[in-house]
Amino acid sequence: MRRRPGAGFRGAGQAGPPAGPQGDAPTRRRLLGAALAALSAPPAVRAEEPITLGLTPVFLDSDLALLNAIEGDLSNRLGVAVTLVKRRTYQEILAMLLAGQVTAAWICGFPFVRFRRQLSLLAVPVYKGAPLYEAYFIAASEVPGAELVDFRGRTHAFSDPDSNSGWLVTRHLLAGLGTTPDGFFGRTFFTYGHRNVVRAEAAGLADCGSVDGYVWDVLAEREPALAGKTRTVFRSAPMGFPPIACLSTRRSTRPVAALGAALTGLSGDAAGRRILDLLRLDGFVGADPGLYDSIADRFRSLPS
Amino acid sequence: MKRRPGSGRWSLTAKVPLLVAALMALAAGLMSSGVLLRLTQEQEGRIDALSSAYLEATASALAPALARQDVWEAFDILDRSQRSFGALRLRLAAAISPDGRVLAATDARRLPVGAPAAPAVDREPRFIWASRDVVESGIGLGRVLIEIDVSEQQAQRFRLGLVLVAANLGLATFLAVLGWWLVRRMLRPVRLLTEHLGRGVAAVPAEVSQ
Repeated sequence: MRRRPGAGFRGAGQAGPPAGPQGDAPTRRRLLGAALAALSAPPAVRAEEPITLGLTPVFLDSDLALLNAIEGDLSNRLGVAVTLVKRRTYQEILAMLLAGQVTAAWICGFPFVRFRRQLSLLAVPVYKGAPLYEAYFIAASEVPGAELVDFRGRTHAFSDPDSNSGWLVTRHLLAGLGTTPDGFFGRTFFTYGHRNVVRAEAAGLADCGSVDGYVWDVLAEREPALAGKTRTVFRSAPMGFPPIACLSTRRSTRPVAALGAALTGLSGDAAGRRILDLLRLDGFVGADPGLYDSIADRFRSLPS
Repeated sequence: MKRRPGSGRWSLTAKVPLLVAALMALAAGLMSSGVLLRLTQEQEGRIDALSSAYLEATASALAPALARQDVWEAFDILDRSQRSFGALRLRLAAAISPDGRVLAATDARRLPVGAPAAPAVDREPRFIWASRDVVESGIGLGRVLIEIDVSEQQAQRFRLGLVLVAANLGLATFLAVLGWWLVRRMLRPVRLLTEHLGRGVAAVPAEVSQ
């Protein structure tokens, strides 16, 4: 994967006009000039603009300690307050991203391809050496079945209607069988989180479910008692890992660029590697939108 | 107890302590059942208060999920509340739709989604059930049903009952033995005198020892 050059961006905390020499008395003219300069400057160069990063359950966002660590590290790295924003659904975060209410958001590849014209890739996680992941079709341990057709009439838990692994992949597979989730499964519902799909199966609420393979893998390591109540029935082909995206119109603004640089620079120091270790990721890289072509093909091939 | 030969009746030495022990046992039995009754009432009152608090809070939280028939949201609320509400040993919590069918239950294997709620209800005495209607703007949206495990409270009452019985039995036995010994000691001069008087009638009178 070609790495987008991340170096060279200045952190937002480092930006802004240089401080005057120490000992200079702040005259009224100087203060007025500085204030006018600050007001006339475009938003892109304001150093103190807070950064907000929208999050969706494409990773274990239920881990509050992890969220605090990410927020703290990015704030230190960028020199400005970084706020992580969580909402119940992907759609809410996507709406905030499209409305410019967050600087960037860690979204799924599916909404990225749906809003390809409005969105740009800022950084893509690297998992097990590549910016790729798989979708898993999982089942509760006691529920028999080796392939999709064995789960006809069962209760199925989807993650989110805007999730690639948690909806689109299974929807696409069923379309290949000439059916739909409602026509194939006895009952379906959305849990709005990959971990929730596992919880639903563990509690017997669902027989099978569609989840992000990376989230399930991490869950199996961190909460083996929970993940152990489910099993992987089959895995999809590798697809582009859920990216961190921003509005295309804001791609070159300083806060966005600084955030991208901070993310791609995480693997360059010990503090960043600790965060990556918590996320079980190798790092973040720049990527070409073509990485998500397979998801776009799946989306396009769905009957309208 | 020693019976006087030929009398055919219990001696005073045995009768008095046995009577005292019997009265003590009666009093202890009444007191013990009073204590156990009071404990039962306190436990039931506490369970009532806690289950009411739980049901009230959960019913309020569940109203939107029941109104939307949102299986996951209802489950999530029940699952989290069940795990965080440590004051009660909740075995199961379920959201029931107005038609009596299960919208979601924390143990969906016992109460599957869409199944009628009633047949799966356990009638074992160690589990009790409580429910609360979920009403919003005067419209019934369903109800919350919980199953509470009261085996711990039952075991507590059983243990206390055993302790009371053992303690009262021990005390009554001790007092009966003590009473027997004391009465026997108290009646010893009378018995000695009676024996001597009896011997005096038949033979040569002898000196009564001190």
